[in-house]
Amino acid sequence: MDVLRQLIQTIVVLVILAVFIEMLLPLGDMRRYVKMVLGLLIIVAVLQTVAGVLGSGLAGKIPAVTESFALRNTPPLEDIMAAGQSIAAANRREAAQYYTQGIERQVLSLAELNNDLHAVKASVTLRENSDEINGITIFCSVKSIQPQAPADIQPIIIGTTGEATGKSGAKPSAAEVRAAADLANVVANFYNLRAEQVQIKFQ
Amino acid sequence: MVQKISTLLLILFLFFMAMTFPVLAAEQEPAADGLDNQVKGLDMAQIQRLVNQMDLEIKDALPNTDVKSLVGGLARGDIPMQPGEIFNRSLQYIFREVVANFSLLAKLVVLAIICALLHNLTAAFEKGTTGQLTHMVAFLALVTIAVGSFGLVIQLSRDVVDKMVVFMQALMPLLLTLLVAVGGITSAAIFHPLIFISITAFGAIIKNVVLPLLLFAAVLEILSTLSSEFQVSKFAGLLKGTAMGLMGLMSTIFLGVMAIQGVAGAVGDSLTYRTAKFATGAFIPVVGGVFSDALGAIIGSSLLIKNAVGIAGVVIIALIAVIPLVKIITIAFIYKLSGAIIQPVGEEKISNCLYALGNNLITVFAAVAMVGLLFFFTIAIVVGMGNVTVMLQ
Repeated sequence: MDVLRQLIQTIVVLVILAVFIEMLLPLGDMRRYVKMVLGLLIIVAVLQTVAGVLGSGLAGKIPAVTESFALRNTPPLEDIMAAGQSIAAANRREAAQYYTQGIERQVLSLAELNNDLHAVKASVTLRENSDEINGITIFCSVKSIQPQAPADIQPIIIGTTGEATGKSGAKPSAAEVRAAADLANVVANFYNLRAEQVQIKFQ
Repeated sequence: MVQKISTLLLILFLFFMAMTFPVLAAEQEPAADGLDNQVKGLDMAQIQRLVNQMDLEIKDALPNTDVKSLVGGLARGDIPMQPGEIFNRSLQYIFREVVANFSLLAKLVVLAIICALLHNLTAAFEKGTTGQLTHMVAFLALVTIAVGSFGLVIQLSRDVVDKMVVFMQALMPLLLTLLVAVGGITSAAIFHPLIFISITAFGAIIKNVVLPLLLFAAVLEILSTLSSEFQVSKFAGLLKGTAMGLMGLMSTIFLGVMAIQGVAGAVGDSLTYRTAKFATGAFIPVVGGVFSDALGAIIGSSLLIKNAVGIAGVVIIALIAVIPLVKIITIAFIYKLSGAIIQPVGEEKISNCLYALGNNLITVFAAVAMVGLLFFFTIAIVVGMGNVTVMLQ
């Protein structure tokens, strides 16, 4: 742009000069010649500028300068990606929380269909960094036991085979163990899980 | 040509407006505390610094000068938009600017009347050239005042373009971060170098090439009015045409590249996401979609914040541009008004000169407005790409 500015300055000077000369010169042929000479001077100025620009190879440098300048003040892509992915990970954790809560409610609803068991709580765990279900645990209360002393309650773990593994004195009845095994099978089949991924614990 | 470009830009403007804003209403409303937590976690320090540096006039027009509160408010829909008040304030501002520039109008008109008087009194001088010379000196004084204010306008326009570019450079990393958060990883990777190079190159070309070309064109047009014998109006037309052509070319390339790259990124992102979603859905038939549905709902809040950041960005860009634009159009109006007032006095040359300056200022106005408009399109494209990515998921 400096080259163009220089050219415009030259033209301005030449035109103002021409105007003043036009005013000061007497009427006659001389005016035409002066006008012609000043016109030629302007053409020379323009051609000189064009030749100067073509000779300097200025146009080739522009893209490189622009690119380096554009990316100089901007954060690198890695930083942007890391920040975005940390928000995405937080979103994923929150979604996983809603997801497990939803599955837990579904499992409890399934368990409530079984009249022989009283399911009180369900717990779902997911595989790390995945939305696949790792395991489901259903907590059931033993009907024969009164729930007045929660501190003394020891869980009794029943596998899908229906085997009682509880440690407390409170033992579920045979009907409850059978019902627990049926429920575990239903839940495993419903969620496309392996049998050992579903556990039922008696409280 | 200019009319066609203007119509095209207007259609694009309306399209992008429609693309950006309805999403806010269509989204599910996530928990307010979740939104606030996400907004608090975003790094908006640089944008806040730029907003703090703004003029008091611009800050007054902002509903909230704290950017985080502004974004949170926009995401929740708490910021009341009052079009009537905005319209009234704009009118008041335009009127104030016209009044403030009356001194320029008075100077131009008085000098033009002096010129007209000298022109008519030329015959009274002993030598005709004396009258011509004094007329010419008065004319040059008038031109000096006009070119001086024109130069100030050009400088103001350059500053505005600079401010807009710096603001966009601060806003874009935030928008790209949120684009990554809603799953637009490919889009962000494509946009990152592209957006920054386009914004900086476009700003630099408008600032360093187009605006000086318009100034040179204006100078040459004034020069052409000096003498009817010695004309450089074609050269002025060439410079103006080059500036306009460059502006049109740059905006076409800018919009075209951004739109094509953006769509390519969005499709790539949705394909990756859909493959993962299909795998989950295929293995767990009943509940396979539950997780992606839950994730979709959570992503909705990030999307909402991204749109709110985009809207806040558009508002701030508009505020950065609107006051200088009003100043430019007011000065253009003053030039044209001076030209119109002077014409009956019989000073055709000065009238034409001022009218040409007014026309050139309108071109400067168009150049600055074009930068603002293209930056608005950029924000709309990035925001829209996030919406498209989530929509295709």
